[in-house]
Amino acid sequence: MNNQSLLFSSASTRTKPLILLLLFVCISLGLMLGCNNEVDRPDSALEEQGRLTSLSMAKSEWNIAIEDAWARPTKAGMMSAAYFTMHNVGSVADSLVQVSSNASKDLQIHLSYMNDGIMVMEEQPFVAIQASEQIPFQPGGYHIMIIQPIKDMEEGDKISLSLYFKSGMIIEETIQVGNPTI
Amino acid sequence: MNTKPTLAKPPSFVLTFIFLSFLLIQSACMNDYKVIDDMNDASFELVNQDSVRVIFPEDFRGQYVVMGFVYTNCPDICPLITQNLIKIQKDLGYPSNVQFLGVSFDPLRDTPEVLHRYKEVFKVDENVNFLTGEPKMVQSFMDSVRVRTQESMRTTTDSGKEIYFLNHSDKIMVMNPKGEIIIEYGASMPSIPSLIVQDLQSLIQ
Repeated sequence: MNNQSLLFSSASTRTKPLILLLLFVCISLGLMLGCNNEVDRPDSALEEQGRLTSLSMAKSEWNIAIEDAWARPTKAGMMSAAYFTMHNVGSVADSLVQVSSNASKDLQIHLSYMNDGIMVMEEQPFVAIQASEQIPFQPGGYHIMIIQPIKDMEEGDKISLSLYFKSGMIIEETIQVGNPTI
Repeated sequence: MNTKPTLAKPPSFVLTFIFLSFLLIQSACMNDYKVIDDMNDASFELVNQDSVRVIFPEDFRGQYVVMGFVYTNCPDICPLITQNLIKIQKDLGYPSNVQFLGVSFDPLRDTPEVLHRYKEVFKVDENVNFLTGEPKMVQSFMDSVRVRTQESMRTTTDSGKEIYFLNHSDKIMVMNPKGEIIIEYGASMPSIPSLIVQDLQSLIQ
């Protein structure tokens, strides 16, 4: 007697289709859950998901604060960077996944660090922030690279900076050019 | 009984001891920096941000030189190094006998014109110069001062621009008037300018 025969040996012919249907639904659900690896991966698909989520998310529910933001002065076509403190004032973790600005079409999230006596800079696909955590974006660490700005960025100018999060939150800031502490 | 010799010996011993101690203390207090690199072994033909030919180290003989290493496509660390050079100059009171140099290790992109614009961004005075040159000459110069670079990432931006970045040594050096590198510091740390100012003040006084 094979396995299928054992399984259905005591079931009536009327309940067999029902059991088969239930098995199919359970296996399908299992496969769907097993294949869903997007939970901790803030990639472009999640960004799209984030944009959709943001439509139903009230601004008052946003839980990330951007403080002390500024950008480095530069000339058009050269390089600049934006800095700030990212503060998760809420109780839910989130991730910064994308940035944009009116200063340039090309922005990237970067991290500078020292490795074996060499100063290294790497692009970061995202920056995760835990509940209540503060992450400084500062010279020599995390920063937003502003690649070849379309016009000169003089001290005192203002530029826009939009930060897109995995949760769907979008923070739009107007930030000052020039470090206010220098 | 002749007591003079016995009386004379202790004072001369004490005087000798005091004299030697004085010499020891004096030598300990002197800024006796060891030579790290003698740059007189070679001569490098470079060019500054105004396309003026510069021969290193000959053109700087007789002056102290504070020298950092940068590239202008670096948005984060190199501006820190440049700002530190500017801060050292300011804190020293803009001395006329100290030359400040930012030498580019990316000569393919950092032409004199680009360095000129970079200098304008930082609003530095005439005693701060940015140098570049023929790629082989620049590489030879970087080898001589043990500045390492390596391409880190080459990416195509969202708008289709191909860009690359460089990993690099983080150094500011002081060269004495004889053309000898005598001190090296980490370049980008905020605490560095005060250390360099302290050392230079004791050297140039």
